[in-house]
Amino acid sequence: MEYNAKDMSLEELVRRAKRKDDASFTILIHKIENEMYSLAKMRLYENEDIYEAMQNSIILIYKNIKKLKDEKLFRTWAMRILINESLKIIKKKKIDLEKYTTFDEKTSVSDYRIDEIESRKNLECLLKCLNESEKVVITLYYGKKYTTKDIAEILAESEGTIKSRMSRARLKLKKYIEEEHLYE
Amino acid sequence: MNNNELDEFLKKSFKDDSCDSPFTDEIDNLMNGLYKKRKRRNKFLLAIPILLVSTTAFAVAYNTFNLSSVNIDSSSAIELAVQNGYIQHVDMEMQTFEGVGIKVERFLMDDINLDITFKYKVDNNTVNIDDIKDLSIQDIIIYDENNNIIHNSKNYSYENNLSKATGHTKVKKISNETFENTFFAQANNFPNSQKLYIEFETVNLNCKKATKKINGKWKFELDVPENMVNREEVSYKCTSGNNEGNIIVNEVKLTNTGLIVQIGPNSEELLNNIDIEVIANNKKYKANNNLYSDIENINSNKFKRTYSFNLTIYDEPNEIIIKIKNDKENKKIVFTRN
Repeated sequence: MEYNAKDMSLEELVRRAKRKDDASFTILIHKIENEMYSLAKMRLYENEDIYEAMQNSIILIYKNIKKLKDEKLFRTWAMRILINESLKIIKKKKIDLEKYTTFDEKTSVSDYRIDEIESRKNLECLLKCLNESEKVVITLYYGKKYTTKDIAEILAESEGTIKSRMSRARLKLKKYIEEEHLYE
Repeated sequence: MNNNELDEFLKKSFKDDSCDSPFTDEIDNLMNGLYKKRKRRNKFLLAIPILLVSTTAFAVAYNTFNLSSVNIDSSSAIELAVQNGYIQHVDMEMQTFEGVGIKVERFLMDDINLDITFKYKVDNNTVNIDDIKDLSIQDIIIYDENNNIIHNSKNYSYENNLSKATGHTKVKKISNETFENTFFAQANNFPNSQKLYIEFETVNLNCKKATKKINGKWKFELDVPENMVNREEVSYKCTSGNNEGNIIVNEVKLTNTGLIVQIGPNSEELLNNIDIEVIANNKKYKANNNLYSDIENINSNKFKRTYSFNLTIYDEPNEIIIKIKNDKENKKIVFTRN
C-alpha cells in the first residue's frame, strides 16, 4: 500500500488504523511519540519507567482504537491512556527521588546528573502540597501548556471541573510559595 | 504575590522538557511484534510500511531494554548547551582490538565541563552481546597539546589532574552490535585546549555473570572546534550585598554549560561551613555536589573556594542572586550583567 503520509491528517490516519491499516497506525504513533515521551517524562524519572508507560499505552491504543468513536479526540484519548499508565507505575514503584545516587569522585553509573534530580526535587517539593488529581492538572497546564479544554478532554471531565480544580491548586501553591519564601 | 506573578513563577518552575523520544526504534519493534501477533492469529500477510525506520531484530512486546539517555549527557545544563549547538560531532574510524571497536562520536568542552561520547561495536564472538549490562573504559588518560593532564585515571592524584570529578553514563544499546556511553569530567577551569589526546588500554564488558576485560591500545586525537577553544562567557558585576561581612564573592562567570562562583579570600575554617545557593529567573540552584569545590590556598592565611551551578548563558539571566549562609552570616549578593 502506498500513500503520502505527509498529506494525511491525524483523523484520516486514525480512520485507517481503525480499519487495521498497520502502516497508518505506525505513522500515527510516531506523530504523537514525542508528545507522549515529553508527558511521561514529567512524572517518571527512569528511562525504563518512561518506556514502560509508553509501551503499555501503545499496546492499549492498538487494542482499543476501533472503539474510539470520534477520530478528532484521538490525541487527547491517547494522552489519557498514557497518564493512567504513568500513574500506575508511580504507585507500583512508589517512585522516590531520594533513591537516586550521586557522584563519587571517580566513577558513577547514575543515569541522571545530580542537577536533573535536584531540579525535579524542587518541582516535586512544590507539587507536594497538591493531591494527585491537582498535580496532573497543574503539570498539564504549566508543564505541557495544554488549555483547560484540552485537559478536560484528556481527563474526560467537564471544563468547569478542571477550572475549579486548577483554581484550588493555584491557591494551595500560592500559599506554599509564600510560606516557603520561594518567590523573591 | 499576585496571580500574574504566580503564573510566571509556575511557568518557570516547569522546565521545557520537550525533546525527541529516544525510543523510536524500540517502538517500531514493539509495533512490529503486535502486527505479527495479529497476523499469526488472522493468517494475513504483513505489508511492510514504507516509512518504518528500524531494521534490526529486537525483543517484542513486553521485553524491556537497558536504556539510558540518548543525549550526550542527561544534565539539563549540558542538554541546553547541546540544543544550542555546543557540541562537536566527530568523523573517525573505529579502532578494534579483541573484537571490540571504539571511536569518539561527539564531545563538548568548556571551562567546567568535558563530555566525550564513545561508540562501541562488539563482535558477538567476543561475548554474547545480550549478556552485556554495561561497558566502561578503565584507566583513561586525557591530555592536550600542551601536556596539560585533563584527566588521568591510571595514576590518579588530585594535584596532577585538572578534572576534579568524573563519571560515565550507563551504556545505551544503539543496535544489535553497537553501544554508546559518555565519559564526563568537571573542573574549575579546563584550559583552552586546541587538541585533546585520549588513551586507554582496557575496556570492561560488564556481563550478567562476569566482567570480561578487553585489552588494546586505543588512542584518539580530537581537534577542538574554535567556539570551544575561544569560549563565550558572560561576566556579571555586583550591585549590592558584597561589602558586608567576611564572605566575599570574587567572581561570577556564566559559561555554555554552567555558572562559576568564587568566594574568598577567607580563613579555611570559614570556607568550610558555607551553605550557598543561586537564584536566577525565579529558580533556585544548588551547587553541584559532584564537583569537588576545593579550598585553594592563595597564601599563608588566605583561601578561596569555587562552586559551580547548572545555570548557563542560554538561560540568559539578567540578574543572579547568590545567597550565602554560615553560623555567623546570612547574606544576599546581587549580580547583574556587565
